[in-house]
Amino acid sequence: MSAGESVLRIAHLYPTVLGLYGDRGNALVLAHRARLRGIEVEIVEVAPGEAVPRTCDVYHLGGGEDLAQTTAAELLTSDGGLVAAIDRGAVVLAVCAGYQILGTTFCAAGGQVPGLSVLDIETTPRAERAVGELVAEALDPALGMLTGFENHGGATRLGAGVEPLARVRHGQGNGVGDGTEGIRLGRVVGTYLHGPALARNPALADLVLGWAVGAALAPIDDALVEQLRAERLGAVGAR
Amino acid sequence: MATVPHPTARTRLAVAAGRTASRVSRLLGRGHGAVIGGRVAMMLDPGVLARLTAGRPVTVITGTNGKTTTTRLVAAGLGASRRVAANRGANLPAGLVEAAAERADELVFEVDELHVPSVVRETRAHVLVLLNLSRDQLDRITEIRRIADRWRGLLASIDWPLTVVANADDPLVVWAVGDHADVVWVAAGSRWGEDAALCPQCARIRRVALDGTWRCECGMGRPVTSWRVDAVGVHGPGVELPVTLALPGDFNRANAAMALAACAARRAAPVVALAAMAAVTDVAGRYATVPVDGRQVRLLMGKNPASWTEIMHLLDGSTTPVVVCLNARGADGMDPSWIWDVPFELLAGRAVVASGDRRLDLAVRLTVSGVAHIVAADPVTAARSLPQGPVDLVATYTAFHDVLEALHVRW
Repeated sequence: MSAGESVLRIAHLYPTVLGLYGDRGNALVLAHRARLRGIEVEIVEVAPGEAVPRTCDVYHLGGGEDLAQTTAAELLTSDGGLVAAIDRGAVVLAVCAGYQILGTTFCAAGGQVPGLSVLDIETTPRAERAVGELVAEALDPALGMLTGFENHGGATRLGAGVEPLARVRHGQGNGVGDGTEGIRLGRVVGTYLHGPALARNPALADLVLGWAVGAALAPIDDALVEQLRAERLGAVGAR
Repeated sequence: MATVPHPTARTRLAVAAGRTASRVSRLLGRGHGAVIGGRVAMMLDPGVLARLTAGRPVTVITGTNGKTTTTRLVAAGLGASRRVAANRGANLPAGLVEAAAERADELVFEVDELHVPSVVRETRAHVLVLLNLSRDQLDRITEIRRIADRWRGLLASIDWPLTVVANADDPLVVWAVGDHADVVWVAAGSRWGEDAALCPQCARIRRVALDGTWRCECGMGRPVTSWRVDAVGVHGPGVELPVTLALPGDFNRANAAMALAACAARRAAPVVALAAMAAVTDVAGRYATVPVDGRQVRLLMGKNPASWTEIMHLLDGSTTPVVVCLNARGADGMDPSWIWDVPFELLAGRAVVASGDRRLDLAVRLTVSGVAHIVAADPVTAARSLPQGPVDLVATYTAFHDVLEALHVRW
C-alpha cells in the first residue's frame, strides 16, 4: 500500500482452481483484520484466464489438485503478472499447491512440472501423503507457534541457505526429513498450513498485513482466536 | 406379486445369521444393525449380494450429496406401483444385504461413491443415478477426480444393458459418463461450481455461457438434456408436472427431478411417482421438525461445503434462529477448513449459536463474516438457549446423529 493510497488490495488468485481447502479464508481474515484497524480493503478475485492485476498489495494462492495446479502454473507463467508484482516487492502468501508453484519444479500427476522459480525450492513426490494437524514453531519469535492442517503429497526441499518459516513440532511440514516447514523470504511466505493458516495464526496474519500496510498495526482483541489456538495445540499435545 | 429370491442354501444361512447379528446389534442399541448383519452374511457367503439381487431390477444411486434423499424419493416413486426394498443410509456393500434379502420386486440402493463399481457389477444394476461430485472428506478422499475416474472405468466396461441417469450440469459427472450409450441427461443444476473450473478432460479453463452450457476445445461439453427442473416444475419426455415437495430447498427439487427420471427409466408413471415423492416429509431424520421445550427444531444435515452452501441459501431470507454444529470426527472428515468456503454471512441478522466439537472454528468463521453469535458446546443445549418458536439446526454427519439420539428421533 503506497503512500497516498487508501485502499488495501488483496488479489486472491484463481480461487476456483487454487482453493481446495478453504484457503479463501486467508483473504477474508486479512480483510477482517485490516478493517478492524480502519483500513479499507478490496479483495480482487482473479478467475483463471483473467489477467493477474499487477498493482495489488497482497497476492494469495491456495491449494489444489494436481491437474488444477499444473494449469495454474502454466497460466501464471504465461501471464507474468504475479512474477512482476513479486519483483516489485508485493507481499505474497502461498499455501500448499500455491507454495509449490512458486518453486523451480513441482510434481503433479506422475511428472515434474516447471514452477515460477520465484523461490529456490523444489518439490518431489512423497512416499506417503502428509495428512493431519501440523504444528511448527516459527523462527521469528513474534510469530510463535503456528497451527494448521496439512494435506499434501509433495516433499519440498529448500535451496542452500534458504530459511524456513518454522520448525515442525507435530506433523510433516516441508516433509523432506529436515524438520522444516514453509519458507519466508523477503515479503513472501510459503506454507503447508491449511485451516486456513491466517485464521489460526493471527500473528502471521499481522506480519503479512503489516508488510502490505507499511506501518505498525494497532493491537486488536484476539481472545477468541487464542481460545481456538489453545484447543488446537492442545489436541496434539503441543501446548 | 413380489418376487422371492431363489438363493442357495449357503446364501439362506448367511442371511439368517446376518439377521441374528442385526437383531443382537439392535437390542444392544447399536443402531439399525444393517451393517453388522451384512458383514456377517458376506463373511459366510461372499457372493450373497449378487445372489440375492439376481433376477431383480436394481437401481443404484450415488453422488457426493443427495444420495440418501434421492434413494428415498426413488423408492417412494417406484413404491407407488410395485414392491420396493431400499437401504437406509448404510451405503457400503454390507449395508445393502438386509434390503436385498427383503421380498420385493425391485431394489433401490444408495451406494458410497467409491464402492459404486463393485456394487453395480455384483448386482448387474439396471439403472445408475449419478447426482454430483464435489469435495468431501479430503483427508480420506484426497482427489475428487479419482472418483470420477473410477466411475468412468466402470461405465467403459459394462457389458449388459444399464441406463445411466446423470446430472448434465456437473462437469465431473459428464466426464465420468464418458461414451456410455444409454444415458438420460437431466439438467439438475449445480450451485457449487468450485470443483469444476477446468475441463475434466483436458484441464483447460471451462468457459460457461449464461445459459449454463459449455463446450471445450477438446470436444467435451455439456450434453443436451431430456429432463430439466425449474421454478415451475419438472419437464421431461411427455412430462410437464408441477413440483410441490414436502422437502425444502432447490437441491431437493433437483433430487426429485433425478429421481423422477430414474422412475421413468424403470417404466413407472411419472405423475404417480411424483405424487408419492411429494409425500416424503423427512429422510433418516433430515428435515424432520422435532419439539424441544416449546421450540420446533428443524433438523438439517450438511456434510461438506457444497451441502452447507445449499443449506445457507435455504435459510437465507428467513429470520429463524439457527444452531450450527461442527464436528471433525472420522465420518465428518478430520479437517473442517472447508467452513471458509461456506457463505455464513447469509446468517447475519438473526440469533446464531455455534456448537459441536469444533465450535471455536465456527465462532472464528462467523466473527470474520460479521455474524453475531454465542457459543454452546452441545447443540441441543444450544437450541434450548434460543427463544421458543421455530429453530433451524444444521449439523455435520456425526453431530447430526448425536442430535437424533439426544432427541430420541427414530430414523
